[in-house]
Amino acid sequence: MKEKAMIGKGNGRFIFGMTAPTMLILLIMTVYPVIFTIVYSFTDYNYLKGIHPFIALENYVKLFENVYFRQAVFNTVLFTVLAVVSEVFLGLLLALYVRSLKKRQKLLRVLILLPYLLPAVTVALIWRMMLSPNYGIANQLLQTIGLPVFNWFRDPNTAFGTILVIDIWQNTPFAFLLLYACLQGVPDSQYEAAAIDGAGYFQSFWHVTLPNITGGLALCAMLRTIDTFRLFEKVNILTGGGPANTTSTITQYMYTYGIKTLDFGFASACAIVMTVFVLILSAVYIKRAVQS
Amino acid sequence: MMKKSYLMTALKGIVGVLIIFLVLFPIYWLILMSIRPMSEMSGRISLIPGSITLEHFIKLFTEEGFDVALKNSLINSTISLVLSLATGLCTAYILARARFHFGLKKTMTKWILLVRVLPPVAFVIPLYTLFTKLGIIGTRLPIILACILINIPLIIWFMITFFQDLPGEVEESAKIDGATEWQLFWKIVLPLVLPGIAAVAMLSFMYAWNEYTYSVILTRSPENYTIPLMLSVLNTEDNVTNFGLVSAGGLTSFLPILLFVIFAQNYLISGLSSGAVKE
Repeated sequence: MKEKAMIGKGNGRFIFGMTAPTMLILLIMTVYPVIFTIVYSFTDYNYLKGIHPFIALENYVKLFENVYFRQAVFNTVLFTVLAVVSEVFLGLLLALYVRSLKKRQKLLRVLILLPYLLPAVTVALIWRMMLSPNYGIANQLLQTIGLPVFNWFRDPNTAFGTILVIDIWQNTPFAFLLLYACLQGVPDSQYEAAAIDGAGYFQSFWHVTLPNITGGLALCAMLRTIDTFRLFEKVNILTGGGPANTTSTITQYMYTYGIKTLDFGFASACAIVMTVFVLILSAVYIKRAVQS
Repeated sequence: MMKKSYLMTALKGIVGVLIIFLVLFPIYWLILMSIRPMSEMSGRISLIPGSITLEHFIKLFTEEGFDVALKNSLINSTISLVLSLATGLCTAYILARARFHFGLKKTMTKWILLVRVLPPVAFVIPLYTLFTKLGIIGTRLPIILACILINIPLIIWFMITFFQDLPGEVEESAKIDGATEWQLFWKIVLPLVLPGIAAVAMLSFMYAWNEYTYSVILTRSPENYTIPLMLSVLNTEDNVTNFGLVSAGGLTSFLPILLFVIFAQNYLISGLSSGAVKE
């Protein structure tokens, strides 16, 4: 009893000491920026001119009237849907494959993981070299077998798809790893029961595996959506949003037309739109995580 | 029956080879380009180089200033890791334990989750103006702070579950022996969650090491360039003269992570896949 009281006394100071640094960092680095991004978004703030009169919703109106911005939103949504669906699907196939192996599961798991661990910049550069129209191995192979070659990043027909493939190559391993861990959690007894009932491979996948990993699939899709939606590195390095705006994403648009030009009011409005999108997309995830 | 299973094994083997080829060929190509002499990079490129050279690495580090970028990346990632761990672990412990109450606890927990989800663009503009006003925009501090901003929510969110999984009795009995809260945390709780710390430390280091978005916006002078920035500058147009340099730099950018994979892959993998089982 005495001891408990003693510890209880110092508790407040201990809690304060343990949380104050984080609190301070969060206030300066997140609370303050979010508030001021909102404030800036209602002003005509250019960093060089300095003056920033209040212009209400003008930035937002300008943004939504802008064809390039609308295209960037469209690209981002399309890219995210295609990338996430492919990554989860391919990740699941890989996980099922590796799980079905009798040996070398661990080795294969770590080899498959490697692309995800590379910096996005490095991944972009590797593919740029392989797909180089003049010196790349890809076009050389295509030529050898008589197929048409492309200037992959400059051709409006191929640029979007090429970046999509590169992103899928890098991030499928993450989906694989997560789903592989989920598969390990499916109890063997359920498979045995299904086998006794005479279920084949596909039946036991449908009735045993799938119901057990629905949560994992949803989480995986969620995490990949949040991450893919902010796509920037690969686009900025490989195409800068071109050709003809076909690969521009929201972040890339904001970088080109707001941050580089130091039009911080306009860029802030763009950031707010982006943030609202992300909040809507991740609402389910946040809700679930807070509850647990 | 025998025949069918034999066929199945063969098929699985072919699929495996195909997977490994798709996954590893680009990495193989990166390694190859970094040690291939420039004369072998144009015309018909062979899959296996005729001769091997280290000229790209030597030029990269002696003439292109990649040594500075490497130093910057190491310093930034390490400092931000140490600071994020120090503050993040303490906060995660408080948030994980029901016996610690304070008014903002729930708000703080939710805010941290939100910060983890929000994109960098939600914070970066006011940070840019703030750092300029403080006069630190020409230094390495903005990148270190940005990496701390990325890593603190990750560490807290990750470690909360680790702390919660510890049985409360350990702390109870230590308390009865008269340990202060700080001694309890430092001497008893932290050693028990070391595996979790190792896993999250590797993840944090990796994210700081790979960071590009904040860096490209918050860095002005080349002397503060990190490896991803330096690589993106080296990579100008479609220019074969830089392929060797870019590859050598790209391979260098992969080395620390490769060390994790070789020496501590279990921690790394448990860190990356933690979401699957924990949430």
